[in-house]
Amino acid sequence: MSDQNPILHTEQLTKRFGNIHAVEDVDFSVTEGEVMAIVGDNGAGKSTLIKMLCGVHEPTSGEIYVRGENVHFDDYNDARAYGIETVYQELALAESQSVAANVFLGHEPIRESPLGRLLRLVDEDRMVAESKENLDRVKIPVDPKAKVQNLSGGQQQAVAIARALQSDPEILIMDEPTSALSIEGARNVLRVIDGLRNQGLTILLISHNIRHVLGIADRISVLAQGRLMGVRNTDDVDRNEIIALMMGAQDGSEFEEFELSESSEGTTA
Amino acid sequence: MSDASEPTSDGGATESTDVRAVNRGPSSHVGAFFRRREAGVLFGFLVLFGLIAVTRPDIFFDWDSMSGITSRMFRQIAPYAIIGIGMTYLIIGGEFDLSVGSMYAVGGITFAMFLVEYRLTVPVALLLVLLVGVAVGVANGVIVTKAGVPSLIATIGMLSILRGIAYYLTPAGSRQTPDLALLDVFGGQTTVAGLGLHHQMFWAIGLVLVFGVLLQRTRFGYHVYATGDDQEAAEMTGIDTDRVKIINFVLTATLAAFAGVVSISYFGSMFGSAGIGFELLIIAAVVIGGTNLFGGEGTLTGMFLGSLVIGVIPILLVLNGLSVEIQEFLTGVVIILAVLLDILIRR
Repeated sequence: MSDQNPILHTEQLTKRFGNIHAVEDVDFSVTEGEVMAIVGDNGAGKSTLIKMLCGVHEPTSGEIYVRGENVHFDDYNDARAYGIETVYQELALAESQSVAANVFLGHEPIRESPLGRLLRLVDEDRMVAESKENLDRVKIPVDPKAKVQNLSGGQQQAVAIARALQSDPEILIMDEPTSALSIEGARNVLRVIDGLRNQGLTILLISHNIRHVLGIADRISVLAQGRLMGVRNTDDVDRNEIIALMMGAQDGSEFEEFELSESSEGTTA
Repeated sequence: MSDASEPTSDGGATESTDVRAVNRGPSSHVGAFFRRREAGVLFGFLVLFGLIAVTRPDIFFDWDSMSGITSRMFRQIAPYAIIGIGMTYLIIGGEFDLSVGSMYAVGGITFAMFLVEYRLTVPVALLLVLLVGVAVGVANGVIVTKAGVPSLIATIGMLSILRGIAYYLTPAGSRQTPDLALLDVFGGQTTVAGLGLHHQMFWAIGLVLVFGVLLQRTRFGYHVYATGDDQEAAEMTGIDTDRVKIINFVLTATLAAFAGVVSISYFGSMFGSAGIGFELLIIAAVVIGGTNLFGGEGTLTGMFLGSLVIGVIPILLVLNGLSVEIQEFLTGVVIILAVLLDILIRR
């Protein structure tokens, strides 16, 4: 994989909270159109890293570049302006509202009529029709008029993704999209990610589920204790090497004999 | 690639699609209405109203008595419904305002003061009263959202401040409005088939309809629901939730001031103690009407029907010879049971 013209890269990106070095000197790059997974144990710095990339946290030091341009994000709107959208782990859905209202939350379309513009009346027909288009894009059947709280976990994830697609992003950051889902739901979400890659989106996938990551990602970045331990092509790596990197070994090979039990894999059923 | 990324043809269809639609938009379908919370509230009201027929058929089937009783009930609930509009917006948006009863008194009393002492015209006096409401609403809103004082504390403080002002402005105990024909716009009455309908009720119904459409159909209305549903989620999508809440506080205080104007225009005078206890009755009407006490859900239609329930309870009790103390007691019991029932239904 070539890193010559990355769509997104960081140089010595660092975030400290007081004495805690959450992310330390991370040089990291993402190629356009790939699914780049970021794996690591709890506290490895995954969330802090993506929160800097989507504008929630300001880096303590280091730089972020989008298409070679040095950028500074004050909030998610800044990141959004550079085509970076995020689907948060907690999804950030208004659960008692409709699917369509959630897809358009904060950006509801206004009716074209003079009265519509004056009173800022929401064009509900357009909202339902367009959210249906977005939902079709993620290929999980969801009724745009249904209440979000009545949906399954996988469907809610689809709604959150459909909302992220609303601003037509180039880079989609997904924070643990398969955690808290049934096996079926997780499989559906992985299918959605694959479909979005085929549509040309660049996807940053944060996960602690190595099996899911090996199944979907093009490359895998491994974080441990705030540092980037290594980047591997999915085709050239196995589970044990990733585990070894996650446990802090710079060179995964010395853990070749590492035995992995199914239960330690972190699969949520 | 392993199996996980391969598209599975059966994958999507296996998850159940629950198509229970959201009941927030105004529905044109009669069938949909009866599945909604409002239908239950209407049923509850009709049961209570019917109990009058069962317990006091002598009065219920006497047109003169009953028309007097119903027009008094409508007159009584009009300020609840008017103020309840703002309270519904506030509670859907995740806050509430306990200072409305005091604001109602200050609204009516300052209106009379502007007309009598400052000899202002009715439109100017009304405008000034509404501006007082706006100022109080901004104060409540800013104290809650920007300073982070919980609305329980902030608006109880405001309740006391405004009540103090209401007493201060009524050294004689009450204030009277001058005899102005224009005041009939607010306080007059129209007779339809022998049933005296007070203009207050028309104001209440008109405002409920207008603000109901605004709540259901406008972008602001959507943001009110989103703010109360999940404030963090709303903020992540770029909604300024502080602004939403401040506007809701302004709306509530302004409507409370207006309700005071409407009442004093009808009665011709208002005591410094007017509106004591309104906050509880109004919040009860809002919650009985199906608004989620924890935000994110509710309608003005429900609030209006909830006001009717709150209005009919004392009539039922007084017609059956129960004393004022027992009325107070039972009204409190009904309110707690209604809210408890609401919480249990939602579980």
